[in-house]
Amino acid sequence: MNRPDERNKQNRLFFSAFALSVLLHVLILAGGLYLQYLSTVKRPRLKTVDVTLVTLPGPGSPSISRMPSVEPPLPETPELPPDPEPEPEPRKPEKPAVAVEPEKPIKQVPKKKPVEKPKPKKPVKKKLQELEKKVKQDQPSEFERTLARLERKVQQGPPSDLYKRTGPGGIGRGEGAYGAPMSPYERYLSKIAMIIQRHWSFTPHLIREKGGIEAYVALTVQPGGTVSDITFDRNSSSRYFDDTVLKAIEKASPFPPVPGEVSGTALRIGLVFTPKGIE
Amino acid sequence: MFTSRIGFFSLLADTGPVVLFVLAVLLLFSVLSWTIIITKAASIKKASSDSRRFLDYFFDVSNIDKVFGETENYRNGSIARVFRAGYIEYRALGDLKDVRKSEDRIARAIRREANEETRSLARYVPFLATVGNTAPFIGLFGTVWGIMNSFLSIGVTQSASLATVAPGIAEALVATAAGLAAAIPSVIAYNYFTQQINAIERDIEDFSGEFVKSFVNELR
Repeated sequence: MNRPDERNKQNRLFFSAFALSVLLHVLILAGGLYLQYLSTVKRPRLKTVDVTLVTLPGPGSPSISRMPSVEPPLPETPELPPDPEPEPEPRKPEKPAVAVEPEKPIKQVPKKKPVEKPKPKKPVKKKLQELEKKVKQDQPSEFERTLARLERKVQQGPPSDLYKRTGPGGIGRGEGAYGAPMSPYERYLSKIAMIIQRHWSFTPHLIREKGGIEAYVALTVQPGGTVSDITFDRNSSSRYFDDTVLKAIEKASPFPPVPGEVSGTALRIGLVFTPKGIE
Repeated sequence: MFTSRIGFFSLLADTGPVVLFVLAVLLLFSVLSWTIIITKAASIKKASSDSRRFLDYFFDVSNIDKVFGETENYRNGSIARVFRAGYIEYRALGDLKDVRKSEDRIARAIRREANEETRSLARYVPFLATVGNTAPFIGLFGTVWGIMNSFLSIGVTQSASLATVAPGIAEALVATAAGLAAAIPSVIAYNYFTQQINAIERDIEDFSGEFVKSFVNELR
């Protein structure tokens, strides 16, 4: 058999195999690139799904049921009665205008009246329905209602005297009373606030509303420092925020014992939690 | 190039020159080993199938001249080539009457061709073993180098958070992954081809004696 021919044949086979191999690698790399491109294209969808509604409670959510003071159906009822009234009014003057001119047709008028009466009812009903639709359209959306609720909350101020502070500034932020000596009660309160602050961790990104988030929490500190009877005098609009507050208090307890100069018995204190700190 | 930092190719964007060199070497190794795999798969398959068909024909037909005429159809068969070499030597004997000398010459020619066949079948196959053995280590070298750099970056940024450490380690591990990707097919192919070549070699050895005998019978 011819050896040079054989070699040429083998070389040809080798180079074609080399080309095939390069092609194979290029295809694999291109496939990998394409898969990665696909994964990057799909990823943004996941982000939109991830947006939580934790901070926007709807009408059926438990956070609303926890707030008894907030129920805004009142503005709906006063709007309804004044609107339908003015409509029948302009039709009444028409009837006397017809009745005043001739005397004879007065007899005919009562005959016509029963025929005319059902007619105006239908448009009135229709208009009533339209008005109802308009009223419904004008009704504030969930978001607007939540905002209004928050505004009301802010305007309302602290729910009880527990949250009144003699000195300005927040406890947890280290702002004192600008040089004024703190009372033993304030000192103890600031100590507790600092302890809770240390145990408090939450992700601000999970809360949509940046303003108006305040949780008014009242708790009883026993003389030994154990915490009991933690109640939310006013919830924040974020359930997540409230949960973190509750967890922080539970983690921070027991507190240092209540100094004798502050109180000999159990001490009921109120703390205001905001994303900026404890006040 | 990539908005996301997750993915094989986006990891490569931040790798150092040493790791990139290692990856380039491994890619070359992979391309060459696949070239050899394709070449050998084709040639060994042809060699063994043609040999089998030739042997069937050889045992069916007793006339050596007829068998030789038919070997053209089994050009790629290793055993057919060995037979051809023996036949050419047998014809070259001419008027040599010494049977023993003739037998020696034919046997020598057959052995020479058998060696040549084995050598040509096994050509480049050891490279697969080399890739199989060294590619993981080359990849490991790239990984060690990459991890070394990522630890250095920890020292520079003075932060040992996952965000600082993880990308560097992931980049480094790409080299090990590439090494394994090059090595695994090479090792599998090497084992398969070695076993196939050994089988063909055994067949050649077994039938060389048969061929010598048939030529000697013709001489008598």
